[in-house]
Amino acid sequence: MNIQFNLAEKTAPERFLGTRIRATALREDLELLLSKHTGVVLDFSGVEATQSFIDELIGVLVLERGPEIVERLVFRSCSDDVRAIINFVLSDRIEQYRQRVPAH
Amino acid sequence: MAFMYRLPSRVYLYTIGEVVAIYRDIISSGEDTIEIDASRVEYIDPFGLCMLAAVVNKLGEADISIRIRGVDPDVFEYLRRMDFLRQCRMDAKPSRPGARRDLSDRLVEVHRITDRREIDRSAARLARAVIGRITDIRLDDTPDEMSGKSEVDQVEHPLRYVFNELIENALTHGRGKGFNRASAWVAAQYYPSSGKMRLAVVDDGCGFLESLREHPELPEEAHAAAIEIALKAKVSRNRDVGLAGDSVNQGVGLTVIREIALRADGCLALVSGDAWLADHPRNQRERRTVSEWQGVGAYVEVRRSRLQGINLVSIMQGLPGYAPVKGLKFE
Repeated sequence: MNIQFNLAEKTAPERFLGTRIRATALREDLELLLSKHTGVVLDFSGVEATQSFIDELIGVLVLERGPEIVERLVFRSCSDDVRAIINFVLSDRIEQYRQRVPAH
Repeated sequence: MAFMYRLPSRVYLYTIGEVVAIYRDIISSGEDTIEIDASRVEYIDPFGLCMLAAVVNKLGEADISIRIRGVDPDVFEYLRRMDFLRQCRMDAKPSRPGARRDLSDRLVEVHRITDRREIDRSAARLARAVIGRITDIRLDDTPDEMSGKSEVDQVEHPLRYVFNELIENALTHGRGKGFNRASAWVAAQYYPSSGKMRLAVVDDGCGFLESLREHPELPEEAHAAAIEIALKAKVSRNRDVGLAGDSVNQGVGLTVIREIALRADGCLALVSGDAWLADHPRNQRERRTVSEWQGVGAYVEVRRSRLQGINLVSIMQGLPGYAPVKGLKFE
């Protein structure tokens, strides 16, 4: 069962998520949810973000746990910019992970 | 009698090296009391102000007493409010009756940031301060149906993006290699007469060369070479988790900022060590050798009218490594 993780609620009143330090704290919450639920719906309604923020939130997760973790994430209500950033971050980090840990 | 140093008439991108040269001359003189003559100063841009603030702070740390003379009477009270000048004695030059001018293009606030937790708030405040000076923007505008963004959002989001990434760089990479007390000085200004916005972040951290010294793509141990490879996508000393003992990153922050600046008909300039580099549209790159600054100075200029049309999607899609990820679930 998927659980919702609402970024706007977690970061109110900010609507722009910029820094790695903020993303690090949120990633800890996300990892806790992933340890208890099959999947997490990351709700980006009404928020924008930098590439650094998205990388720290989910790119680092891929480097630490492998690309399979992405299958347990759903991205809801992303703006076009956030969607493009998520795509870049994940494609880059998945490629980096696979280069570091070649498939058997 | 105290040693006297004279500021140039324009303290900005192209005279940053002169400000650093004054700082180095003061330090090498061994004097503990100096005077700075500001009587020629007619214009200071955000980059000049950030560098001055950083220099004054470094002189204060070295217990050097500073007196600034000949400050324009129109800007005297304004400068006196600034925290970074509180440690200086300041004298205005005599004012001429009726000489008061319109300073709207000249006055900039500068802030020092020492805590990474302040970055989001500072970036927001700076972006808002810049937007607040745009008289023809509708602050209560409703979002556009296609993009979901209001006119303010279209200017504010790229500004906040640039500020966040630059300040984050200063307080993370700048704090590597033993420079863990590095600060960042930030300032921004909108110039209604030209429609341009100028943003600057100066730090006193380790600099690009120290940060990238062991990077395999660094062709020679020179500051200029370090700046050039820092601008290349996916060049970073710590792309991997746990390397270099600090935060991981993808090495595309400066690449994206450069794209935003150039697409907005502006420029990105960087100073680190003795190297000065400015990138302009149509692949024009200027390079200079300047007095050595321990740290990084970053300057971004954008045209407001072009900033609103910035398409982050196409910038992301143009980065090396971008590819649609199979099975990614968006809803």
